[in-house]
Amino acid sequence: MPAILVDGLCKTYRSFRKAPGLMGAVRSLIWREHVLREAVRDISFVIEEGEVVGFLGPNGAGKTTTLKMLSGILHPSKGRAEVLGFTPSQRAFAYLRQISMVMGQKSMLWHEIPTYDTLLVHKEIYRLDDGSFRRNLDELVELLAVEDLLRVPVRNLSLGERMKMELLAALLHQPRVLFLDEPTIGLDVVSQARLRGFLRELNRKFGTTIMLTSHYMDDIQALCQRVLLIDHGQLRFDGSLNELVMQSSPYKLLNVTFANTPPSSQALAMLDPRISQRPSDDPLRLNLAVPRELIAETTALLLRMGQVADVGIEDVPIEEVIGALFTGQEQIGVAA
Amino acid sequence: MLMHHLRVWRQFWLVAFMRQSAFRANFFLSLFEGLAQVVLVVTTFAIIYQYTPDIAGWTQAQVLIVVGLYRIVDGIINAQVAPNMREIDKYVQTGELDLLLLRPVESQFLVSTRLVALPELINIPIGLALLIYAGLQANLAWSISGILLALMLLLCGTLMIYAVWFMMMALALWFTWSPFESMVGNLFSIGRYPVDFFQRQVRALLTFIVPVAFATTFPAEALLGQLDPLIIVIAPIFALVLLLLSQRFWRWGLRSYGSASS
Amino acid sequence: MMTHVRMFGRMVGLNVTMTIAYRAAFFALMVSSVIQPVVSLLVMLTIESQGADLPFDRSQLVTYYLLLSFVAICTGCWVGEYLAEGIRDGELSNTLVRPVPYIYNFVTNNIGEKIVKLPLLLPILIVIALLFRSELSLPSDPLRWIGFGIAVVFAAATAFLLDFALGSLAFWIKDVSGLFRIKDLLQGLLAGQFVPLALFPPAFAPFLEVQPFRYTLSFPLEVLAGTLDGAALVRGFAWQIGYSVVLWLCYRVIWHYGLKSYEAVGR
Repeated sequence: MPAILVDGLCKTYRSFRKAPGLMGAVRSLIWREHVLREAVRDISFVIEEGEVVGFLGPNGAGKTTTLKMLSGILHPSKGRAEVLGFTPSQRAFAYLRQISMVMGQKSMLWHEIPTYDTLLVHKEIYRLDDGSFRRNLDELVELLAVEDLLRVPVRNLSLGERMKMELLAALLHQPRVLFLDEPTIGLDVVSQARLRGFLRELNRKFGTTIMLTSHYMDDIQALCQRVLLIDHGQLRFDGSLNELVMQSSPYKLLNVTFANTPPSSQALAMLDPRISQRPSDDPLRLNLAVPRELIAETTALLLRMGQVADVGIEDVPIEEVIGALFTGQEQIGVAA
Repeated sequence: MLMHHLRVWRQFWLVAFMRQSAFRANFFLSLFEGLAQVVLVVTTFAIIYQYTPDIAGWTQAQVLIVVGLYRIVDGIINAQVAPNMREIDKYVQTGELDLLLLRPVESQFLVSTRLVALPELINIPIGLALLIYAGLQANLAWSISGILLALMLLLCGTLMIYAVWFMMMALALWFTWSPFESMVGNLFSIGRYPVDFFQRQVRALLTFIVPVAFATTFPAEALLGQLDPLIIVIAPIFALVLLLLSQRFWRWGLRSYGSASS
Repeated sequence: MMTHVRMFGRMVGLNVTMTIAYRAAFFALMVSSVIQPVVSLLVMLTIESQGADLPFDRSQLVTYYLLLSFVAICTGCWVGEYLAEGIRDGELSNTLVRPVPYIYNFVTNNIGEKIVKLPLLLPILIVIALLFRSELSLPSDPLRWIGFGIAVVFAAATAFLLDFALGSLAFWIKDVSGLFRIKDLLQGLLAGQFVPLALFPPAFAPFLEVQPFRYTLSFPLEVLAGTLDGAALVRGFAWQIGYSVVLWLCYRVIWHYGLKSYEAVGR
């Protein structure tokens, strides 16, 4: 049985449109315009137990909506979702005890009291006996290295420390499936890296299935063997990050630095027309976006055009690939 | 199942105790507020009763029994019900409801119990003191059965007020706010008058729509030995009906809950 | 001077726009605001119909409580605690650098909200008036209405300045919420909110006449009801205007010294 099975999932929101300004406010007293918004359209995928899957997409693409349907907060408008054999929207307690969700911007901790006291509430909510409470707590405290923060009122903690405590609270009942919505938002670089390490460890040690959304490509690169790309509510890609780069960017970046004079523009005009030039801040350096199959021959050609001091061949940066995908550009190398 | 929820509830009270230490001044404010309310209502009635020996059959001392009962109910409501009801629309607006829906506990129970304003409980002894004073003034024959009956009715009435208030606030699931939010406090404060003070239609309203009669007037009548026996039967049934209705209403609302952030 | 007037107008307009965005909530608030007066009216009518010898007849009672809602909204004030908060958390510092007197924020907010609230209140009052139409007879003398209008304006000024002066004490007192609770209690007792001041025992009359809360709510209603004779009318207006002026002076003095201590602390 797969951990998560999604088949033809749709979610449509209804809302009212409001015209701006004083007149708009007065007018909307009488008449309100109805707007339907399809946040998720016909998404299907399967995730096996123990996978860590990144959920990518621009703001408003439908990532959070999908996570909320999977965690049972929202009812799907159409289609089927099944997690651990349960239908999430029925919110069976047996189901809710096996999952957890962390939303980077929302807190489930009481701010005036120490985390430990909030955890005691969670202990009752999730019906943990004293033994498993102690055991899970000790394990998580060690993994997160938060021993001395447990008794500090939450409002006195730093943002990074607070996020750790949110995770601690979310994981206390040892969920089999963990949904993370922007878990690293607002954290400094060091805290982000620590959190990633922790999540990797969690997945390795307990086999927790993790599905996460993030704005930071580093999160995705560090954690996810697999990514789902969603845009305008539709699934655009499902596979590994490398495949995504290969598929959406058939280009590599070729950087050649010449020792004295760069080749003339006439010389460059001889290159294959599919090759494009990218801006460079060094007059001696030539930056080219080259189709993968032309890399070898183009490099050889350039080496003959002048005295070459340095050659570099790189993939297009992943942010650029994703960014271009979201702005709807087909050919990534060229556009830049 | 029930035990589980009771244990969670107990934990919420413990949290409330711990949080309270951060707001010690609130205790004195609640104390003052409770006393001020008593002074205000007692003075108002003292002025009115200059002109009449009784209002709709209620003497001044008997009315103060109602006022005392109202203080007690108000204390319970302000401690356990109001703090939670006031947050429901905010849970919807901020999306915090999402987090609450994730818990393996009845969501209605969770949003109705998790906050407790302990200082408000001071209203219970204040009301009790007023009740005893007024009872002595009214030459009340304190009977065990009357007291138990009053207690039962007061409990039913409080549950009814909770159920109605909860349904009013649950409207936020559809509209992200509730038009009743600013109104409920004023509506339920009518409970400090015996419902007999009002015309027939208003009395029906205060018995079945904004059911404050069950929380204060009827318990007072029970203490005075003037209760219509029919009420003893109606009260628990009506309380149960309203509670079940509120449960249905909440579940219905959750289905259309669109969540604030998408 | 002209720039101040223009600025003031701008700020009022801004507050109206902001308030209109919450019109539905404000409408609910208006419905809520008439509950207590209507309930008090119903109780008083019950007493009256029992044959109690009240100094008011039925139509006067209806008029009193109907317009009570209106005057209460006109003179309603809630700036004090916001002001105190602004002083305590240092928000005042941000606004001090602007070339607008700080009090303008509060005055314009107050006026802006009332401009939105009163039209929302009107249909509610009309519905109530229709419910009680058989017992309602509004006075027809235009002079009384003019007097009522003037008294309402000064009542609003008195209520506002009282609240503002009280909130300004936050310059020295850390927690002013207790003060406001006391004020609410006195207001409830002494402004005529639940029972008209005319129903108090006669022995209290001299005291009731000189205490400020009468002039924030009850006095305009008394002017309209015509229960005051010429001398009492003149005295009443004198007290009301006197309170406005004195409270305004209090505000000036408090802010003069308050700002000094505020700047000295350097928050």
